[in-house]
Amino acid sequence: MSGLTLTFRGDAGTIVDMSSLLPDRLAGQTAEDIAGLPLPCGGGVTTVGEMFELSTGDAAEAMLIRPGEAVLHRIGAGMASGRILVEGDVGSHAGAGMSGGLLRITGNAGDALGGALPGLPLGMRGGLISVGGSAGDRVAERMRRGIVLVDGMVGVYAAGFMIAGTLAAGGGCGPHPGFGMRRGTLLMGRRQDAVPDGFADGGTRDWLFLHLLRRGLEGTGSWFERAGTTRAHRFIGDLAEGGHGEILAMV
Amino acid sequence: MAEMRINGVRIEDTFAEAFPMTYTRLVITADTPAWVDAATSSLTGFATSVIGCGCEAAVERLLTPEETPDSRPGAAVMIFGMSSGDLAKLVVNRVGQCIMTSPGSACYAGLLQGAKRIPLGNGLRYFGDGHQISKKFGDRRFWRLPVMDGEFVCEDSVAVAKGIGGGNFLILAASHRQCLAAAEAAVAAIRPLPGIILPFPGGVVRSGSKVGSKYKALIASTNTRFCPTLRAVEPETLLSPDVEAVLELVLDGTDEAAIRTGMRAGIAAAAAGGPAAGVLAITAGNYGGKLGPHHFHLHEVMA
Repeated sequence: MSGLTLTFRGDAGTIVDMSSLLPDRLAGQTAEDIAGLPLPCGGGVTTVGEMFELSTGDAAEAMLIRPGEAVLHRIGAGMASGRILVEGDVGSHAGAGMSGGLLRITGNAGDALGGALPGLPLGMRGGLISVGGSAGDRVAERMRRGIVLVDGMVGVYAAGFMIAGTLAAGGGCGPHPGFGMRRGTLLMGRRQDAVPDGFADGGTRDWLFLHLLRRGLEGTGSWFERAGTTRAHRFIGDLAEGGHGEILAMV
Repeated sequence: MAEMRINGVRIEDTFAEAFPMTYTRLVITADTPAWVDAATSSLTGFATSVIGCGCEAAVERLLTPEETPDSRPGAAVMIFGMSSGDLAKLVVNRVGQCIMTSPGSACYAGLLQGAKRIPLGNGLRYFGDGHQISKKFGDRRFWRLPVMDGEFVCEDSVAVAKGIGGGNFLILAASHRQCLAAAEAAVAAIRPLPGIILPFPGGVVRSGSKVGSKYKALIASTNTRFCPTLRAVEPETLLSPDVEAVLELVLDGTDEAAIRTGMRAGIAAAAAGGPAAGVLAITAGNYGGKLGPHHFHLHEVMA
């Protein structure tokens, strides 16, 4: 991956707000320019250069972030275009409010992945988030459009209040999936024996549109790309919100 | 210009006159090739001539599962009309009545890039009566409409582009059987080529027309100059006494190069057997250059 590389060099456990480091904002800037940018960190403000070792390269091409032992919140939050690859784990609100581009995380993600930033009414509005590990609670909350892929498990209230879009969790979900869901798809890579609260059993069949999703995800290496079936059990809901959303549990 | 012969078959020094059209391409899939055929036969039915049918349509080529968006057997269909507005009405009607109704079918855009787009699923989604679902993967939006065998998946819209309609050539032969055999050989040579369709039945026209008629209500009537049965009474006949039958191939294509390639392949195949196979001459239909700006001179095409 060519482009700009940021390798964390601060103390382990340092909490950093990464929402200002987006490919479209950093495009065309030199490593020196970027190193001088302010960066919210551990309750104060420091500079990017203090926390990260920067390579030469244009963020417009791509951004590679190596978090090390840091806790990096809000990576890719609000991103509109470009590509961010994170080699490791990320904190909360990764890709929150994202409207375009690709955010790929090889490790685990915290809460509110692809969700809404505090105080904002909408979650992710476009683009693709791919997580190689697991993710925390409230993934894809209030999501409007786009795709969130998590190879492992996601926590409670997955796709909560989802408006549209697709969350695909290979390892399944914690309690209350699709709570308040209006439209959209929560796809799970494992069986769901009990009907989720607020949902109706829609039966099992092969879903043609999942072929389209799979074609669209070619090259991501995600669990769904590897899944050999498009057969899934459908649950329709949240009935309290009109019942136009769906949970699809692969069988 | 010097006389041209291919395998002894005379190539007349004339030209085919073609005109601008607007086209789109759809990708139709189904569970099996047989159901692809059922869906596309219906979709392209009654679509031979824009004059009487509103559009001209045919299967461009069959697609393998690896070539289709949903990994099932499919076919690329090209539909030509006189304007994007005409196509918008015709295509959504045909897809709604012929593809959505066909078991297991799905409909995708086969032309993705273009300044103008016409609706597909976007015009049909209300059939879902509120239960339709929109999914956007990448730059492409699809509609899922609940139907009795599951879901009809249809792309939101498809691009349209400028194409050419009315490329043609005529085969003059010593017998009807030999004329048909030559026409079939030409169709077989043209059908594998990309960017071309032959919208008439089996790819062949037997009722070529001329502009106008003795009857005021008709804008076109039988092309008396190429009717063997009228040779004795038609002063302007273009048939020599040894011609018993004439068949025409009409080609619609994406551009001049596609039409030219198709005409060349078709004429070469039709003339392959030479006079021994009963093929006496190849000519083309034109209206004196007044109908369309695209002129395909046979000697240039076959040079």
